[in-house]
Amino acid sequence: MNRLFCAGALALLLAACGPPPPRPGAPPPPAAAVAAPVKVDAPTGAYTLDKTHASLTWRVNHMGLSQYTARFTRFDAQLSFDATDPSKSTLTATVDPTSVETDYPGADKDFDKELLEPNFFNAKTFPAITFTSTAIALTGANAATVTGDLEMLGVKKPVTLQVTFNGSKNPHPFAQVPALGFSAIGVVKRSEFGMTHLIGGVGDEVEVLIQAEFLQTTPAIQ
Amino acid sequence: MLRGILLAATLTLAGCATAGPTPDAAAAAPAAPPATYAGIDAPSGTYALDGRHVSVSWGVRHLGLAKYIARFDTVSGTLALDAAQPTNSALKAEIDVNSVSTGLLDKNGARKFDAEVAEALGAKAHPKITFTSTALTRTGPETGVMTGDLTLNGVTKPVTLTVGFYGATTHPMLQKKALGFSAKTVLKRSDFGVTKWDMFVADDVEVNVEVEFLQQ
Repeated sequence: MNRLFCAGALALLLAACGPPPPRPGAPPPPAAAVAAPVKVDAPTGAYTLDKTHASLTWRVNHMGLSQYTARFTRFDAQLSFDATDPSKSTLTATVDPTSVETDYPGADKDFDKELLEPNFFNAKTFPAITFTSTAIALTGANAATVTGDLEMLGVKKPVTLQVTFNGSKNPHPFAQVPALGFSAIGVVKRSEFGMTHLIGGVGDEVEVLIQAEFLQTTPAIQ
Repeated sequence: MLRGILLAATLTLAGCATAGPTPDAAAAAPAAPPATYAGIDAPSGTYALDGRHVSVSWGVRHLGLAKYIARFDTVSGTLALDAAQPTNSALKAEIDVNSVSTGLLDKNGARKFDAEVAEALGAKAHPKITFTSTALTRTGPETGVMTGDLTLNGVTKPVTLTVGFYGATTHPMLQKKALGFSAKTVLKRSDFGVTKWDMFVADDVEVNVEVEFLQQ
């Protein structure tokens, strides 16, 4: 990460040194180009989420007092990674809503189960939440926006994730295949998907925090 | 009105009393003394940590690829709030190490990995992590820095939390005052003798807390 960061900082410095100052009256220079992507030590190909090294956390405001924090523990993702032009990569992901974990400590109710009822995830009718990328734009040496269709509660809406490429390992010391690591954040307005229960006391905007490692797809990993 | 004019005149005279600073020097003049911030709109007294609205999560970098995120599920604590002078408030909190939850189950659906992490944190000899605040300073109307003693794995060290105050409200169902905070810190697990997996897991542990307290 430090090395990536240094590479990014160096790229910015070099960019700053690049063009000569504009002459008075000259047309404004074009918008600064996105820093060249960092080197990725992993080949183009199919990658599968390393489910033992991935987390999908969500946070929603509770009565203006805290960001109530919960997570899904069963989800999967497939990445078709383009090492030459990462913006040509594609991602699909699926989340099992019944894996929601609030870690509610009270014995008075099963809050995870309540969240599966029709008011919230309506998991019997909609047993999967899916995400399919539609566009990837590189925004920095190790940053990109990944826009995609999120389908939840039968409603499909575009959602944009801010993604950071954390690094690659080739080979991964245990899996012995190339590996990629990412962090991502996004905001989902639950009302857009028809989940309006308790809006007011509980926020509409849900912060989504993702940490994900991917391993090159092999028969063993898939 | 008259008083305003007098005040302005006094200020003008005061400005003339010393040699006028150059514009640059004026810009570099020391900042005004630290601002004082308003008290908290809730009664002073004892507040209990609301175990239903708390999350203590932590993240540690794995192989330089991603942060491994986990949390502690069983957390309790008491806040002694001084509403007029919030910096005189005190916090005590306790975490059950065996409540660590990675969300990762083994092939039989057992929380085997959670048990391994708890063991790495010294749960057998030291089943509780404790935090006792020692100092609180305010950095803004809704922000502060809390220092305290953290005991983990039987080792006590000072840690500093960056604290955000979301606000105080009357809980609509309980009809008690409720307070909400966030807190963050980064600590070195090696400082507490927790070094397992250090070949591929970073030393820095990022801790994120979201917590509500209820008036007792």
